[in-house]
Amino acid sequence: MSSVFIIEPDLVLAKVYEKGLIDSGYKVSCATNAEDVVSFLNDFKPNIIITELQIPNHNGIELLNELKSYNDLQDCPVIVNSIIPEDVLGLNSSASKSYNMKAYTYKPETTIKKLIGILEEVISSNESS
Amino acid sequence: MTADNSVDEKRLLAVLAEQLKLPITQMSRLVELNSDNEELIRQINETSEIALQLIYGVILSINTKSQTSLNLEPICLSRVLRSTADDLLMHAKKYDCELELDISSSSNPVMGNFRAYKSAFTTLGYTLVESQQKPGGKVIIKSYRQKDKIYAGIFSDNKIDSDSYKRAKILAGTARQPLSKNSSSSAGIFIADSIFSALATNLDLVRRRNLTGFVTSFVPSKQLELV
Repeated sequence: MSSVFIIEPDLVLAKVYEKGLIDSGYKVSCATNAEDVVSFLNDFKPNIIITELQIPNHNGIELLNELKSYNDLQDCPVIVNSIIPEDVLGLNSSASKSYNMKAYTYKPETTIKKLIGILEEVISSNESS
Repeated sequence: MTADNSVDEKRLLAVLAEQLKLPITQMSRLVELNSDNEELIRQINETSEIALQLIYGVILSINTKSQTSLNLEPICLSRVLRSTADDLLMHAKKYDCELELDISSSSNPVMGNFRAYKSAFTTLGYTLVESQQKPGGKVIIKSYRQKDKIYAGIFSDNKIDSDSYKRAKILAGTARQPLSKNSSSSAGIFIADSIFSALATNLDLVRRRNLTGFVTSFVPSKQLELV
């Protein structure tokens, strides 16, 4: 069973995504702020991370850099599910690659079903590589 | 709070528009999580997308006018209009409105911003679909060439005269029904107008054959045609 770590600052959406993914058979942990992310990742290594970039007291790129700094997470795929549209952020493909970012979804347009679909694709592609 | 310390209205609107994304997203996801009714989920998602498009249009218009840089790139107008049609199709079906695409003249590349143009045409389209007063109406996404320009816009069989449109632009934001033929605030028309004017073009009311349309003009890039 794949373990998913969701970084989502909105408590309502965090619970929604958590339940949606648990109902789909995933083991899920959540954090809503950067401090909780750090304390969680010190003890637990997920198979995949789904993260918002607009979180309290952190900008998105800082967070991605933070995730990159964990040795155990170098190969951990990241899906960005953000309220910031991708073209506004303007990350080029080499930057995305360096963060191991496998997908970028615009949260308001991403249903739970769509997110799970992307999650399954990323996991399966990661397992076959 | 003094006048110097208060957030001006435009910035307040931009802040509000950004914030509204969250409750709308929450509503859609909560319904999705708590309902087995696929059709209901689909309709709620589509309705949320309309709200989000309108919000995006407002944010874009404010940011573009305040000189936040907008990336310009060669774009294919027909791709913008086809994408607009995809977004409007379900909305048109809800209103039992026929949606037509007539874009034979728009294959030439123009310099612009895909997302901004699409947002403008889509928000315009929502209002024109919603203003259909009876089932069986028609909305046409159209482009045509006249002299050295390409015109693109959305037409409907709802007749609006230019005086009403001029008056509506003055009343927008102060009257609940600036275009009296439309029962709504016609926000999509004004949002599109605002986006196009921020991109140094106009949204004009035109009559073509039996239809009334809101169109804007593009100058095809001769340099890009050579590429």
